[in-house]
Amino acid sequence: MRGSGLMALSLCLCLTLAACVGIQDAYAPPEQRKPLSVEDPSTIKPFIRMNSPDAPAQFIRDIDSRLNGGTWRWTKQNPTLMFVVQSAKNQKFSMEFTVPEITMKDTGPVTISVSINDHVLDKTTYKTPGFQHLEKPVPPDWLHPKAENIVAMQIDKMWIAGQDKVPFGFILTAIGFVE
Amino acid sequence: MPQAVYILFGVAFTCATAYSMGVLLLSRLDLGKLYREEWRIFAFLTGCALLSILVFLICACHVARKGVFLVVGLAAIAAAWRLRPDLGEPLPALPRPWRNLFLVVYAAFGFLYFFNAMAPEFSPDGSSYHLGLVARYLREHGFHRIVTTMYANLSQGIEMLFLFAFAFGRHSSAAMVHLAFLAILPLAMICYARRFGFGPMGVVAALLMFASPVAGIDGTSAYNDVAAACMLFVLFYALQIWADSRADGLVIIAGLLAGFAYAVKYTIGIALVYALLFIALKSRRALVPLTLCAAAMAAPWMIKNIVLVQNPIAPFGNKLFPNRYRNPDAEAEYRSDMAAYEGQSYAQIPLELAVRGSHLGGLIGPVFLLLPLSLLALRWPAGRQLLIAAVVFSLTFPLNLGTRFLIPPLPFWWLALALAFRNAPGAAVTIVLFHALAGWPAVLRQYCDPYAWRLDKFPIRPALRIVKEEKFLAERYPPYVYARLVEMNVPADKKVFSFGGVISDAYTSRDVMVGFQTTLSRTIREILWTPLMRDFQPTRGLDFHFPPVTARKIRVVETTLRGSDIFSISEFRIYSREHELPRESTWRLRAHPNPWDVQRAFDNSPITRWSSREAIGPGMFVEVDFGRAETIDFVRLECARDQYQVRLKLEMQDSSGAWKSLGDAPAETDLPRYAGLRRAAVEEMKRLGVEYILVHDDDLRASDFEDFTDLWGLRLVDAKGAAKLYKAE
Repeated sequence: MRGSGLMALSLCLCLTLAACVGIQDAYAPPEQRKPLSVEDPSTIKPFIRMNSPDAPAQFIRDIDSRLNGGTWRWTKQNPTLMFVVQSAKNQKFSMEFTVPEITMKDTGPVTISVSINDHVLDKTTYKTPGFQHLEKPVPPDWLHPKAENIVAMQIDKMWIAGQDKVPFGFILTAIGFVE
Repeated sequence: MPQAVYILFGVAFTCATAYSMGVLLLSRLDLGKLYREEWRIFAFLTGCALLSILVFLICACHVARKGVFLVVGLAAIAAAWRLRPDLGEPLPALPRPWRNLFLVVYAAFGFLYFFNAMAPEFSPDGSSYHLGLVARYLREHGFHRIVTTMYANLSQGIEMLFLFAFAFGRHSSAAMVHLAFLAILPLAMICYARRFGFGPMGVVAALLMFASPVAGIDGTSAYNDVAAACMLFVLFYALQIWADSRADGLVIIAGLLAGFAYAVKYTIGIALVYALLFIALKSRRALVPLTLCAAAMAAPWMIKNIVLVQNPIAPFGNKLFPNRYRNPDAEAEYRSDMAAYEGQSYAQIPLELAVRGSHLGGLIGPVFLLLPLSLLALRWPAGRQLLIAAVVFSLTFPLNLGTRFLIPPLPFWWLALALAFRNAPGAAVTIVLFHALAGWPAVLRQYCDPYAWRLDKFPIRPALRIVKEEKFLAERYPPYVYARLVEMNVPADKKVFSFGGVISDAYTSRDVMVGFQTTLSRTIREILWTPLMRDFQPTRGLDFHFPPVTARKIRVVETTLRGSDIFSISEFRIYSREHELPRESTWRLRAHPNPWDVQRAFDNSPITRWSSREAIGPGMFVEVDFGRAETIDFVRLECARDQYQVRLKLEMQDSSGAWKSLGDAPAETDLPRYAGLRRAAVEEMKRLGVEYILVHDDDLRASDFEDFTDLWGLRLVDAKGAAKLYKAE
């Protein structure tokens, strides 16, 4: 018993000691990462016009990179942008857009919904073509002051353009938050 | 040649090789009076242990190939064939009615089990890590350091047998090797009962075991619980015979099986304690061979872990054996998950085990509720031995609450229960017939939970591969589809990160790491969660202002006595006269615990952080050695807010080497949030060698990856079912 107990103990000790490898305990500073900008209202704005040179920095998805007529851009099905507001209070969401006659002729009435930071702000069916201006107050607790706020839109029907079969949503001119 | 033939060859060749190796050993041992049936059972089980350790050595030498296995197997079979030892006389025969009862029920369930085991393997653990690792060992011809799954560090004794079979018949061969243990276990139970004079009750217990729904599904999958049960029972059996005969050879068998129990499953390592105590109470002289044989089977797994991950009992014991591959917080989380019972009352466990089977993953059958009657077996010496073993081997159940973790002690409980009915054979037969009926799939589905883990069908056509394996798996098991999604879209040398969704690793050759498992995968998970969770972002500044001092080293030290939070620092910035000191290459950074990640607090990235990776405690520190005297007057720690219990002090070391306090009440400052965290997170992930992310719809904030794919700097590669595969651009 004594001998085998000792043997078992020795074996356990050997295995334990074998696991006690030297740990490197000091390191030099690593490669420094490129600094990220803090969320700065001067670069990410609360409201943008599509012809603003800084506007594309706020596009997240489904907004055409080409500017048309010097003022507007096509959207696709889920145009999404980000904005920074200085304060969450007294903000109104504002959007200038157009449902063109050429598209409505094919699609019929279209429904466009607008969500702010995952909260649905508006869902309207547009039965006639033409310019629209949507403006609605935004509950303060939906917004993050001095941080990214995501505006996501969705159009239920897409218009397929001519021979290229490229799908388009609606025409966007300006969008964002105004006080 | 049809795939079914390869499958059957794989399992038959593996079993024949194991048996032959057992024959080669047993024929050289003094086994006392052993009956023919016992000799065969002991030969097979001992041979399995020997073959397992041989395959381990083959993997350690990086020569795991089909050809090597073929040569090893043929050599063992040929050598055993030449030997043809005298197996002794048979055990006393069973009364014919009992034998017929056994044959009828055994054949019926055997038919069910055979086709389920032979059907394409899609058990959750079998098709993920059990066979995922087996496939990887075969692909890589042996063991390598694997830091993307913690399961690679568990002992894998049965997986070594799976590997031998897998080389010839792939996944289903491996599952059928497990079936071999399920087939042998009832035979061993009957042999034991026949030897000790209660053969008919052995039939009752054997059928209770064989027809248990959880034994059926587990034993037909590439798991290891039934094999562990078989191993434990034969160990017990050998010890019981040894207690009478004191034959030295039985100690060798017991030692090998006790050590192999550890190699099969850590929790079954308790068999080693049981065997040591059993022997020690009767003959101290026998302890030496027992210990040596057990060590020969168990120690290689510890040594492998020491060599590869610096922790002999990885993936556990990480506080005792600190290492960079798995941290104590991951271990604590895993242990807690394993011991948790999904918010249910513990009083419901018996019913869950007996008839429901959803929360604990499977059911044993309604007869399980009669288990307290097994105490009546205490009247007989054999009953007392059985109940001691049953209790000892059940001790680890609370560590891992799942029905299948009760399979190893189940043979002992069933034998004790059957023994209690020794004088009421009619009642025993009624019970066993009821149990068999209740365990049959068509009846089972009438009363168990619809989500209970169980066998439900006779997949004869898929088993014979009349239905194609791909079609069968794609229709029945989404994780297989995800595995193929990865296989088809990810280059061979690339790694994939998955937050937590199950994927059948056994069906892809790509390295898929799951978020919760290892230090690397947890780091990536934390990095990807940081843009999504404000509490992970470094928006809390802890500012230490002090009069200018000249220091060689400074350190920030945790002073909270005890807590559950994890201490972390995103950036450790040091200032002199309002200017941050540039981080010189001559600086030396230290941390305790988790020294390996200290650079993350000095990389200028808000997306990474040094973390203690264990619950806070006094003495944890992060230290900067300037390498020379520096004049400083301000230190700012940029921290995440998910550490409310942290209390810190700042210390400096002067030229005399003494540590002095620079303050223990830092001012708190709100720091601005950073823009572009998503893209920065993906960039960090790439630095860690991962370019692909598999996102399941039910992952935390999964929609963010879909909604803001561009913002993350990702591209959607492909989507199947509930999973989307993204590539970092």
